[in-house]
Amino acid sequence: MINSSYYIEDPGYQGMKASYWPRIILWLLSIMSLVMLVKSFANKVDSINAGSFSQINYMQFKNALICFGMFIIFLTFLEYLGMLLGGILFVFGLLTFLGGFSIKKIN
Amino acid sequence: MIDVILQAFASIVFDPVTLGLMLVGTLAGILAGAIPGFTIAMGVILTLPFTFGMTAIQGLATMLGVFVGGFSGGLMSCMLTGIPGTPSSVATTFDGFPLVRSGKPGLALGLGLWSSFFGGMISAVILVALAPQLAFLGLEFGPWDYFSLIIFALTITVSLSGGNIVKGLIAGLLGLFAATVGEDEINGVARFTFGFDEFKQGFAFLPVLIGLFAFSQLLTDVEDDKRAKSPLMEKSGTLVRVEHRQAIAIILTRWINLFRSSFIGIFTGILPAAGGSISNILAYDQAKKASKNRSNFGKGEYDGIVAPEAANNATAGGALIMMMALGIPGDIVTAVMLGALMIHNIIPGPTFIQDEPLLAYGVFIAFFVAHFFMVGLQAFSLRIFLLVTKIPMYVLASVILAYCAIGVFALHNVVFDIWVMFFFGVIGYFMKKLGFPLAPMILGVVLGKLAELNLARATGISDDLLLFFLRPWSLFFLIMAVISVIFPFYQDAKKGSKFSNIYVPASVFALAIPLLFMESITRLIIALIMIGISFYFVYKSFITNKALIN
Repeated sequence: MINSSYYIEDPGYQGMKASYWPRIILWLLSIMSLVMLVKSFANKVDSINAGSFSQINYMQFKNALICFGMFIIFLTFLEYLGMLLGGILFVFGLLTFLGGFSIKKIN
Repeated sequence: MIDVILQAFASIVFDPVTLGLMLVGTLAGILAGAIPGFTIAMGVILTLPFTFGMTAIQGLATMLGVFVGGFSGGLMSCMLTGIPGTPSSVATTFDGFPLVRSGKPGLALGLGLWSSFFGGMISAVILVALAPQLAFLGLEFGPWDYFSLIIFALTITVSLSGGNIVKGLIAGLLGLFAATVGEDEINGVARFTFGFDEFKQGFAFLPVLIGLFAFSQLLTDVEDDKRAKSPLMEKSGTLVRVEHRQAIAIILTRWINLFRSSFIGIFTGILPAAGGSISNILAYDQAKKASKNRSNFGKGEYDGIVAPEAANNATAGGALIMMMALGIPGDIVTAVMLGALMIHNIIPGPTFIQDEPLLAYGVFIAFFVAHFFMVGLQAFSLRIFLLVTKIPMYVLASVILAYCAIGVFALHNVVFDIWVMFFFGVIGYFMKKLGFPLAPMILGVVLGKLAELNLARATGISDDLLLFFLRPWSLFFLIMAVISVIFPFYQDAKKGSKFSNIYVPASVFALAIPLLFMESITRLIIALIMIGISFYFVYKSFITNKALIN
């Protein structure tokens, strides 16, 4: 992003250039990220308790991932189905996935 | 003056048509405020065509109904679902939503409702009494002062960080960066668009807000299967009602917070382009800093609801002061109201109150009366809204997600806005998981463009950066910013330590210095009093320390 801030067009007007403000923010953001990185290395973490990617329970994100997936499908087909039909299908689809589906419930 | 006020009062209160129109306007405002994606400005703009056939006072009274109703309508959605209906109710979500979750929805809504009412009343009284005098305060502000005010508002990031200042600052900077995407407002140059035309418009504020707050909150709520299938409140079987008496009693015992927040609201309302989105966060921060129960903030603290709700309704009065006394619109809503006046061949300007006293005071009275309508209508509609707490979370989440998409789409009729909401929803969800506070990011998105605009204006007028320190108001806000940043260290400092003894008197003394240079007798007297207070504090701590040593 810092690199792309150097490609922001300069129309040559007087006053503050369009790239200055974002560049200030990006440099500050980089400095803060570096501080956070240094702090995270400085904090002693128990190697046994420290989690690794393989230990993450992905099932805890199941419902959130369903919501992401359904929303992406809803947005992709919004152009073809329209807001009314797409919205109804999205709501009932999400209700079915999150609330559970069984024949008993239909009866 | 009294006879004009009485005449204006009679023209509003004894005219059933005007009262009926105000009632409809207030109801429309409450609904507009409660729907995420539907702003108060949109509500007032939609009301404008209906006012063409009305008299000037009827038209303005109807619009004021929408304006006042909209400010308080936002509290319903933000408290019950955690989605701020309008930017002016962002801070109410911080403590309103946790209080509802802790099983006190009636009290939470009562606090919000009556804080809005009292904030509006204080603002209305100030409006009638001091409108012309206060309006000139807004004219003293240049871009340097605005930029410093925004810097001060951004320092609130530190107190919103919840103990992790670095993560809070990163979130705030990410918000500021998100606000830079798209064409810049000074030169019209595209930034960070990467060849996509949709990015040129930048990210609209509401999709970002709804994505960060609502989307991420809903995903967190349905994460756990068991929690997803239970209602928002555990006691779903009991009848929930709004606790009016308890709420009024709590607010009145917190009268200092109420008045402080109302004055913050009025002050930001007077400043053009500041408005409710800033005032509610400023008031929340000051309430937190002044409170003895700072650790309770974010967990359903009463002061955390009183402050933003009193401030956002008081802001409406502040914006009207500027409009009525000088004919300068402070925001979109007052600009539309000025347009409505012009339709009726009334040209607003500095002599407006003298030229049209009946209409001017009629607006003040309508603002006053609208608050009574707001309380009456809210008391009734809140009971219906409270039923929301009895619905299982996954049902609410599914409907609200679709509802958010519709609301965001309605803003500009652009599908891209829904994608923006989704994108920021995902970012918000993972930031929450990683322990980043979301409030500073919202603050960055709200204030980013204003900060850049005023910095560009200031540097465009003069290259001299010392002006930021030489202009009294600018210096005042920069000192406030420094005090605000140091405040967490003061909180952590041991009582009786050198730093804790020096912090308060040094802050008061430093704030008095810019007041000395403001070329006003009243401000000079205030400054001298402040200097006296700071010396008294130093003397008091010296005596206490001496007694401890002996």
